[in-house]
Amino acid sequence: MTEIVLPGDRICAAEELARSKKVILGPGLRRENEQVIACKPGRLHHKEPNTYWVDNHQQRYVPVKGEAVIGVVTAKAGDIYRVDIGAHDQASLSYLAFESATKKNRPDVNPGDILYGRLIVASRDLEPELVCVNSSGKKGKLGVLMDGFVMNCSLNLARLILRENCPLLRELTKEMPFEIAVGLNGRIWIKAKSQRETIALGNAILAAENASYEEMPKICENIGNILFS
Amino acid sequence: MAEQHKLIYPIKHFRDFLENEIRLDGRTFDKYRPIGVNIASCQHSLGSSATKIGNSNILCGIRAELSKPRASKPLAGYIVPNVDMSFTAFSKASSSCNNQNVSEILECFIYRILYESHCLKLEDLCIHPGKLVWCLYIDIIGLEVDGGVFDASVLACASALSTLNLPIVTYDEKSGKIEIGDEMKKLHLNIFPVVSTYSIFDNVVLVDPTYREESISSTVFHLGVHEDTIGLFHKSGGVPISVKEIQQSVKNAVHREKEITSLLNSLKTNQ
Amino acid sequence: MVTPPDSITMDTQGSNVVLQDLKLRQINCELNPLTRSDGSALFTQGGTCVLTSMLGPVEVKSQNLNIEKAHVECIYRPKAGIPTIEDKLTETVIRDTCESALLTMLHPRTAIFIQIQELDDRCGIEACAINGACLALLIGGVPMKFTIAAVHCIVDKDDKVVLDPDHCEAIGKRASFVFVFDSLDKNLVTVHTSGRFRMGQFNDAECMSRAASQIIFNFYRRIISNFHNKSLLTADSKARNTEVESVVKSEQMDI
Repeated sequence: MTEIVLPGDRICAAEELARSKKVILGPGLRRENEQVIACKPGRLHHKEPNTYWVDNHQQRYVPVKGEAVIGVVTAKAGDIYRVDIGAHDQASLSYLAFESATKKNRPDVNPGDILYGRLIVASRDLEPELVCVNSSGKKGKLGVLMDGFVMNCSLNLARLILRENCPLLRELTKEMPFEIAVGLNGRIWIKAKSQRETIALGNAILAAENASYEEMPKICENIGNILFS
Repeated sequence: MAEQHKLIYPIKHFRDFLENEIRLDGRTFDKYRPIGVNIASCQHSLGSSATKIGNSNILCGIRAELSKPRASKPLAGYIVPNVDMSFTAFSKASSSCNNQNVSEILECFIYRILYESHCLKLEDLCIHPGKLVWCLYIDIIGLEVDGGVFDASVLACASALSTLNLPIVTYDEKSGKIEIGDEMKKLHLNIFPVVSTYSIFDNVVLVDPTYREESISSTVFHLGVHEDTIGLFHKSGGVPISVKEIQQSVKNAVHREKEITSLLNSLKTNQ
Repeated sequence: MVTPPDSITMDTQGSNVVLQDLKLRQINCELNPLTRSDGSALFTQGGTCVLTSMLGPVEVKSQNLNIEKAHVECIYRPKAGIPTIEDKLTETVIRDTCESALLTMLHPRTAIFIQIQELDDRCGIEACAINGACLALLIGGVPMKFTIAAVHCIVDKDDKVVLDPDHCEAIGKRASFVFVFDSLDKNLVTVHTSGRFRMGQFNDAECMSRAASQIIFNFYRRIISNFHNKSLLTADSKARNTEVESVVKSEQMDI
């Protein structure tokens, strides 16, 4: 079990390591002169060889470059769309940032639409900017999400689901077919065959928040049993 | 060049000065700004004072009205501080949002200093228990604010109170008739309140900071000292300070208090 | 329930403080009682109770926009009626205190809101509100320099310094203090006094409060540990910390 740190605690292990080699400090940690100090409360993690970070239950999304998020288009303003991603400021999305979009051939996006996009600009001093294409100009999995259902969850849960070794989605697919998009801003889009299934899926995902990996298959099985019995 | 430097790197500019043990206005760290007090300057108020500390200029006038006391405290009169810091008072409107609460906080503190710190007994304002008491309206107007607004306001208020002349009123219980005499009576002040402001920047304690110093420094605190007692100690946020710095400032405040009371006394004897 | 440590060694600087007096009223809290805010706490100290919530970093009004740091705003609501001038003062003190604990420069052009609803005031509401606000900020996960603990203290009618009194003990008080300490060096973030007192009494009160602040810091650590130890939580996401815990771990870290 790793230790819990509070803001202001010194991370002596990281300082110790820093004397011999470079140390990477992740979210929740700061360097002040020669000291490593936690600035967020949470569980301190260490990954070999030299990475430290604090796992924190922040509720409000703070944009980070490269993260995939789910947003709602709020307005069309000239060349850009304004997208609400749940952060302190609305993100902008250029109409050219879609696959095969040109000045003549505008994408069909309207206020109220739900988007799955990637943040390419996220700095504390600049407005966040979204794109719906990858670096080779292809749409990949990004773009407007049709139908389905969006729900909010904690940022922690969104990160948990996307973790490589998390069995949740794998287990859920055993029970029923569905589509899902997880935004790191704490929004999850799901599309299943029926409303009943959508609600069940949503509940299963939210219930996984406080479950361990071992408990997840059980939760999924329960949901399946309730649905199809 | 110096002006640009001050504009672009205000903090570094300030630090450069402090390294040479001098402040922006040429004072040393523990030097106060000159004080000017003009008492009984307003003709129409019962007690008044115009106070200057450096460039800060505060005017205080006191009105008195007769009123009925609260049923719960039949002996206690009222003091109602009213502070007006107009926008023109803050010449450097750089942090205007910071100033919006200043007058409210000041009102609160003046009441606290006068009443809770026992400078003034509300019972002294009683004319007839349960029937008639004085209600003092203390109007404080900020003409110009350049730091030390606390110090100046309290000084203005206290010096105005010390010149306050209340007419002697008689109340006839049977007929309920109020008679206002021609004779005047002075209000007794138990303690003459003095507040001193200190700011800390890079572990250096600066006494009586100007507005610029206040806004640039890491913390500001106010001390109201009388002989060996403290009537007010207010530090709101900012960088944490140690007890040592407090004790140093308290010593300083004791000196300051003596200075100001002797100044006021000399003023009164000269009148 | 928090059982304060039996004795805390401290430097009383030759003062006449009796160490056994070092007891705070019982501290309890419930985390995230509100669902819509980014972090909230129901915090009680004895009979005094506040509900605090925080929001942020969120969009800022253009008049409050600061390009160097986040704008911090505090809203304090009394139990009944509209906020008075005294409440405005409390609001300002809480705002300034919280701002000094927050790393506001990490989120420029944003705002952080702190809302405090007084539920019951049985003495020491300011200290309770600051502690509650700190807990809400910790739950909300905004970056902070240090945690803060506020302790209320009075000089009673017999000229004795009393730590964290209830409303009966506070009748006829001569002076009252609110001290806020940071968790790093236990220096004073905020001092707020009313009434007239001697320097010696101030020193005594400060020493007692400083020692007692450790109880609050330990409480924070325990609550946050529980909050992050998922195995201890029930399936519903509320972390009810009011139950007695059998084991109190060695919370104190060398810092």
